[in-house]
Amino acid sequence: MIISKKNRVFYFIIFLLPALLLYCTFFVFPLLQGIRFSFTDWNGIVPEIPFSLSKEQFENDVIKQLQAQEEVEFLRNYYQLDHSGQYYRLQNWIEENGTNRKLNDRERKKIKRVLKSVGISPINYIGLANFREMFADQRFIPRFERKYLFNEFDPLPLTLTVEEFRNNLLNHIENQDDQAFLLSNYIYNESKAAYQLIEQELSFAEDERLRLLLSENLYAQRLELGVIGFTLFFTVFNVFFSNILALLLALVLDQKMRMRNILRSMFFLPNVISLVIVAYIWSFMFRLIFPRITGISIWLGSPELAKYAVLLVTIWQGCGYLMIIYLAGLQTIPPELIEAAEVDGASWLQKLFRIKLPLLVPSFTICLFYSLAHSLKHFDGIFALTGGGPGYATTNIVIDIYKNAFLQNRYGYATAKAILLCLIIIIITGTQLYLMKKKEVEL
Amino acid sequence: MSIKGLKLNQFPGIESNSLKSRKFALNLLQIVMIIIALLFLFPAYLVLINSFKDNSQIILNPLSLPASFDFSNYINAWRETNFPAVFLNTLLITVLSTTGIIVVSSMAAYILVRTRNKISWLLYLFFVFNMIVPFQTIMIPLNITATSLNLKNVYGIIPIYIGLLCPLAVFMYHGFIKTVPAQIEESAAIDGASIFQIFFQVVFPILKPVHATVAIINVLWIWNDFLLPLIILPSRSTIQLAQYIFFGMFRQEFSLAMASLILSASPVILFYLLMQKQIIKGVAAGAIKG
Repeated sequence: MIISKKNRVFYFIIFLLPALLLYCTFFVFPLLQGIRFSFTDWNGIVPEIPFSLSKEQFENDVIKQLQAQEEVEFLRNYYQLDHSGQYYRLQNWIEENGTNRKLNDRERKKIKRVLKSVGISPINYIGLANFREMFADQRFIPRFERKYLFNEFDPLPLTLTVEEFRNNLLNHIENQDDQAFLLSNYIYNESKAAYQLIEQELSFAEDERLRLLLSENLYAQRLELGVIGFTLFFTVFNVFFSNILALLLALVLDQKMRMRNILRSMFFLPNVISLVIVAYIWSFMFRLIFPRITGISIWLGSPELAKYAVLLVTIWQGCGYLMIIYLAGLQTIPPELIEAAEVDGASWLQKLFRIKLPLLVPSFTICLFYSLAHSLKHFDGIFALTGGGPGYATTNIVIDIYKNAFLQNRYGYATAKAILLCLIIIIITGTQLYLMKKKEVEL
Repeated sequence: MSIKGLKLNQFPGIESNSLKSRKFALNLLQIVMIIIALLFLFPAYLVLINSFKDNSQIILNPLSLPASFDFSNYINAWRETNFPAVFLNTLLITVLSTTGIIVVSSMAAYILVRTRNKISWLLYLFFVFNMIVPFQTIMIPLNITATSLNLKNVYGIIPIYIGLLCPLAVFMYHGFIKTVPAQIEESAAIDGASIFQIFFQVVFPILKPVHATVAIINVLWIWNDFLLPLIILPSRSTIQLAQYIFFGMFRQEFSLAMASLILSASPVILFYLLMQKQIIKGVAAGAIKG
């Protein structure tokens, strides 16, 4: 081209600048900020100035350090001793000329500057404490939890199956005396293959002792998924089922049917509707239609079923997209190949497993990558359908981050979780791409 | 192969018979698929028929057809969600952001392809890096950036969308421009066209197929986006947010909720029905390149 070198640099910058500028402002800068925040205990409510300062801190560290009287006056205006007399609190509302108004930006900046000059800033670096807290959090990681099966005030269970008796009760008792006592009261009944409560009347003391023993020791170990566990559960099931369903649909709709285009459009339709609307369509289904069909009245309110409900909705919405990718992959298979196989007398199954599936490996790579990444960070559908509930049953990492950040005002902690999520996604999808790309080359 | 060929020639009747049975099987499969597809869309159908009933009818018998086509639910939902304003907001955000993405990222991709040196390659990688970082990682700091730049409004979200979604578009344009030979541009340059003229009058029209793909992917994405508007925009600014708030308020009022669902899904469904072919093609192309 007939452009001088200097001009070339100039145009390079001019053409690139808009994209680069916006990208850096709204992606790179926040990402770096996020990494920084993940090491702090920042709460996010008051972006730059502390909400409250203890009395000693305010008087010793701030007021005494400040040189200019004007600055002291200025601060005293905004920080006032609260009713307990322990803390100076920031006054978010300022009375001026008889009306209340909110603190404005200029005042906030000046407070920040004055406080910074004496070394006070609300953002404290706490190192890896956020990450440590995450893994100590009971709700976050999968764990075993005891679920007690007998209440002290209920009538004693008359029979217990062998498995229940051994695993849930006997194995939990260490004391030999107690074991013997228990076995003397629950007799093994061979015809029922169960342990039965003896029929004779128990004395009050014996009854009491048996109740106490059962209420303390009759429990099942149950796996609580926690936030991480639910995220993985959701990801595994969603990736598996939506890919299987999408592949089946693609294989069938690749046949020469008259209505295949209409059918494809129908299966793809849920994908163009937003997940919020999809979630509400299904919340109506789960609340009014499903109870009629299945006889189970509570779907979204039950910790067990809500998980599967969320899964169903996500698969319903997402499989059309994957189907399109598989269809595009099937169309790249040269028809001569299939015809040659047919002439050679290959059966339908042979064609599928020997030709179509191996040639679909690139589509598998894309679909798995897409569904893995999207299930790990799925938000809209679950948030609109259950809001992460009941309890924490359907809270995945992203909803947890959202709750931490915007409902509990723990920005630092939430960003630390987001960084963790980022690492999880990079590791999982990176491994998947690496493994699948190797497969593709081999072919 | 030769044996099979021989067979075909010797018994032509068998072949036509098996063709017939194959056709029959295909037709049967088609009918089965139609039934499955109808079941698949059954929830949407239920929402549609229930949007014409009143609340007690829905709770009593959600499966029955409405007794009459009563549009009062729609009128109420239209008013309650403030639909025209919300619709215009969403449209404005979607159209302006998508246009911005197309212009900004085709320019960037063009200059990155046509400048062959290490810096342009590194910058390309720098853009592509975005695709592996989930949005959730940056959403909290982004919220602060938006606050300090005073962008927490309908117009402010547009540059944010452009910044966040341009990497994928840059990636797609980059892949396409690489296959476009530079001769045309060179001859235009000899004719005395400036680089801006070359780009906007020569290259930009050539990129039409990529424009279509980028536009479709981004329109669907931005129109349906929920999380970014949820943290950036005031409540009830876009269709998705209005729907979210509305549903929270009228949790028990099924009739209103159903009508508002149909109302808020209809623009995008209409868009889909009109552009079906391009959408399916665009989505497939986008996925394979992404």
